[in-house]
Amino acid sequence: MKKFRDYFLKSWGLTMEMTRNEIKARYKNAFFGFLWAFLNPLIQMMVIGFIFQYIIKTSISNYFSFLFIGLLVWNFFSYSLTKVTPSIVYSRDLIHKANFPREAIPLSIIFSNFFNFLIALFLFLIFLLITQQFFIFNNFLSLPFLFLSLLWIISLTSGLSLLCTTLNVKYRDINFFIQALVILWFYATPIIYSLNILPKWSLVFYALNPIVYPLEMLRFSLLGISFPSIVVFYGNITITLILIISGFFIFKKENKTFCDWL
Amino acid sequence: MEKNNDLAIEIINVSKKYILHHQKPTLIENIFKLGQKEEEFWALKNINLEIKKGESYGIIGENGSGKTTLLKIISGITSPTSGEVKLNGRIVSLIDVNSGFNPELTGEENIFLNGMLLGMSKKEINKQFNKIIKFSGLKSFIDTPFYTYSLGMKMRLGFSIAIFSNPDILLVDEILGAGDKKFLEKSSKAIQDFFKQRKTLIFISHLPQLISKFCEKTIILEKGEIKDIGKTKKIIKSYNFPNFGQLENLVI
Repeated sequence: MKKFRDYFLKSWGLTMEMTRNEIKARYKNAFFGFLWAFLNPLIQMMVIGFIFQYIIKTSISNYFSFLFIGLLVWNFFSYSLTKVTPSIVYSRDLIHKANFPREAIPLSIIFSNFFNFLIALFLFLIFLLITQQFFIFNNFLSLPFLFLSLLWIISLTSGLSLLCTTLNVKYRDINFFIQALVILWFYATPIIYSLNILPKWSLVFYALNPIVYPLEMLRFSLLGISFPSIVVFYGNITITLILIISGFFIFKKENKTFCDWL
Repeated sequence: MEKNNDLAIEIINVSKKYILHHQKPTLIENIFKLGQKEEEFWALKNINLEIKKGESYGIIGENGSGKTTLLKIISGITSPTSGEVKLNGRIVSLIDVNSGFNPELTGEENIFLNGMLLGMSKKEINKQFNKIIKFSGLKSFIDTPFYTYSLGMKMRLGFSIAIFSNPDILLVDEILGAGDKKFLEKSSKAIQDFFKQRKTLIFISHLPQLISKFCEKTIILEKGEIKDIGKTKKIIKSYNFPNFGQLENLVI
């Protein structure tokens, strides 16, 4: 038990140190610094928002906020996944050098991205206050849902990323596969459109996309937009759990011999 | 069962199998294994070894005899296919001392990163911080970004961190290619001082001078097996070292 505790503390300490370094290194030479975490989805939102508000004319109310939350979640998820997947292979030098907790490499990337995600979310909350959209501040269900959706998003991202980065050590195709998949996945997720306008039968497919429910949960907690059906929940939670458990165990099993494949 | 506290390293029946890839397998090939057999290569076969605290061992052997694999297994960088390694105390290997740094960060920030990779806690690093900088001789560069460092500077900092991480067991592989003569002398002395503290040293080298300077006992590895083991003087006499000519005069 003590051994496990020592390992956990060591692993956590290293992960946090690497997370801090990742955050520092990313913005050290950038003029706008942390603002990029917010500027990036903001610019995307303005361009996509303009198209759907004025050219294609969507019927979704409060479309810009709706879209912004979608982009925020998607940017965190897709950026983490594409960056973590080749991370073990890119850290070849480190892995040959010392016996440190390997999970610090993927997790520090995810945590530093999550930090950016939280900053952008915080700025968005200020925006909601200024524009007097008080749903999250008045509704007692909002905070627990906000917390749960963030927990869901980060665990899902971690599980899937651990799985992909482990597989990528042996099969380098995974990296290319993920790059291609992420582009399609964007359209398979209700980011620029809403599930409400879709026929009921199509929800079965969204039940297979585990990022849908936590995204909708976040939208609910911030804007009070309705939840998708329970089918989506059951499907999403099952797939999320499978990904987390398999990612964790495959990483745990393989990480001792990463060195032999790099 | 009582634990033998005298032992620093206990290697029990360790074997390591590598699967030879003539080309990297793709996922598709692996799913539809087209009946082909994997080619195996045993880098280590049934190694048994007990090293007591305060002993120093040299390991010699031809290229491909399993020296580096043994070092990697002892240090936990990879795990054996079968068998077990028991360690008593912190172990640090001087392999790739110039890696494990982030080029975007300063030397100072990199000391923390590198030290933690080697298993130090933040508190320990803070304690050793000034000694590390002093030993590396990089005081005036310590707050500049790491990408401005030369290879020699990286190596000096890496070595300093490793030696001040206060290991109980030190593993050294083919010492220190870069670095000027002065630093080589300094690091050689650091390793000797280290050894005076009754700590354990394992040293891989092709150079008999270095082995006899640092190690009481020597192991000869051949094709993944221990061929001979004994007092360094005796072993070195029996072993036919490759001739390095001028190189021998170069090092320390």
